[in-house]
Amino acid sequence: MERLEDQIRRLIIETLNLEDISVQDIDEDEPLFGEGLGLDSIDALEIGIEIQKVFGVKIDSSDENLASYFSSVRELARFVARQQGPAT
Amino acid sequence: MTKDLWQRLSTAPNDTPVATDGTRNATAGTIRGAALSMAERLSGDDGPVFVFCEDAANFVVGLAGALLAGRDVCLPGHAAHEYLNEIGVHPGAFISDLEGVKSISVSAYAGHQQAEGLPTVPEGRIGFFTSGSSGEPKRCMKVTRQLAAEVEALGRLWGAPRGVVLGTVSHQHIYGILFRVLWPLATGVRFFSRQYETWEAVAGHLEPNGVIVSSPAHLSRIPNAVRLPHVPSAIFSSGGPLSTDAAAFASAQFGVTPIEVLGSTETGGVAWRQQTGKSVPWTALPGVSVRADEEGALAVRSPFTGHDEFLSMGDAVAISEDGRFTLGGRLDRIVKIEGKRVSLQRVEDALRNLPNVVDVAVIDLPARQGALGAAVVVHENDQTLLATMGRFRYSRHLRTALKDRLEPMELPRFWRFVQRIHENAQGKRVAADIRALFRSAELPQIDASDISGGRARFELRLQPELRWFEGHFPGQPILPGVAQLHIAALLAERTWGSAFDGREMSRVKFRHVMQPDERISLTLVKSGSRLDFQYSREGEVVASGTLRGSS
Repeated sequence: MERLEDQIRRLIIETLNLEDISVQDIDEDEPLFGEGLGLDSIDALEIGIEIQKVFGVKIDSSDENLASYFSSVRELARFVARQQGPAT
Repeated sequence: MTKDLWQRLSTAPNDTPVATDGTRNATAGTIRGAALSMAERLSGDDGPVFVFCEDAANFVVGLAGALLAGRDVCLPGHAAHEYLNEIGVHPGAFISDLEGVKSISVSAYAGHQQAEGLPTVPEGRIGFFTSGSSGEPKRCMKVTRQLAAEVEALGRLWGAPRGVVLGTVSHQHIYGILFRVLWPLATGVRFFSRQYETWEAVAGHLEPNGVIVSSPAHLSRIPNAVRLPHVPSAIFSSGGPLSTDAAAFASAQFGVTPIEVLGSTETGGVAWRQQTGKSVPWTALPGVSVRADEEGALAVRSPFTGHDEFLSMGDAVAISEDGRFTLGGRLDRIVKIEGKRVSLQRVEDALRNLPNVVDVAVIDLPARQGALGAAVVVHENDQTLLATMGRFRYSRHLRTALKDRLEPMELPRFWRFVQRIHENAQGKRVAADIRALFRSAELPQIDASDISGGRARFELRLQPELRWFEGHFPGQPILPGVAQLHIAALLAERTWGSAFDGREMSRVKFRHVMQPDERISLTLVKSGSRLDFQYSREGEVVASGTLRGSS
């Protein structure tokens, strides 16, 4: 099974159609938004949609910790793992 | 006054030099003789005659010959083989001085009986080809009366050229034919028949009081070391905007400020100006009326368009009380992105205002959901930063710098860092050329993927702009076998990080063809150094095989 972190890195690149960057170029701990990878709010929207579709998880837009889930690849992976629960 | 474009040529004594190729003269007598025999050759037939000559004197022979024979004339913009096919050129109706091209050959210089005078050259139609915004050649027909009216306007404004006319631009386009060929021809002034594309060549040929017919493409690339042997009596520039800096540089180097001519193939010449400072307004050419249309765009009525209607040119205009005007950005460069109107000009202006951006071209990319692409020339001070950050992060850095000025939809999504923004030979930026920079080169669009261990499945869409479809085959594109192998190997490498160079392959079968826009599934199975691939469409196997790689 491909590591969740790697799946997410690939998902970011493929969803946003990012060019000139490969999976290895995204550090798991670097901030996805602002300084760091430099993604923006529209990117976040697209990643959110794709994450829900691919991993079958629900993102609650009223969750006040939402921003922290999206802060890095590692955080996103944790979030997805938590949502998917111990069964998978 | 030049009521008749051909009168001077027709009445000049036989040995009057009309044009020079730098060593030989084409005289009134030889040109007339050649034109008459060309007319005789063409008169048995009808339909348009295509004329493409490298030498402008030969061109005059072809043009006059075809008109004398009562044929329409079409002027290809260049002579690339595919292009000539595309616009319908065939050897029996193609006059050219190119070697190795099937055509009716032409020479204005030798081998012809000289002729005293010409019969009256009848009115005829001349077709120019421009590249439409999408890049396909578009034909624009003129009658010779329109061209004569324009030459007359040049004469009213500037008299006759004061010295031998020399061009860095081709005479196959409206600006070149008017300024380089018809104006001197009609006023009895000699012209250089060759196009001199380098400033060194210009310097080598310019005569005292010579007139240089040039373009922004050339005038913005004057080498520091080039000195002209004489101060030209005039330098003309047309085809696109000449920057104030380029005008000042040319003026300092050559001793005369270029005269810019605003125009298009459809409108002909519209206005002129000499940029002796910033924001110099345009003055309409004699006989041309200008106004702002309902959308605020420059609209033009003139005897050069062939009708009485105002023709909109697409640039925002501000007309002052004295009738002179200044231009803003192009109003037709509005595109819709996800339903929202976005001005490409506005995005370009915002980018150009960043201190690290030298030049930029922004284009919408229909093949990528209409997102914007920006081709950027980065300032040399920032090249190191670009190299250390990498293209992706640097592009994000630019995007961030734009956030205060632009809305999210206006932020370019795709970026290309280039040395120079491509312009065609007329100094115009063609949308299709800029768009071509963003063609995703090698990989189909991945709509979905599913990877588990050594097995991966990709749902692919074969977007038509995949470079593999180019020229394979014209009109009937299919995905070549080598591309199918390449795509499988590339995706495997991306997924598992091991290279499959395809030096060894087995059991490869291409059963059916794959065409643009098709949705195809690709299954990859990796075990050790072996990669099995299978392309399928709706459950049916399209191609399959095995590649071996390094690990």
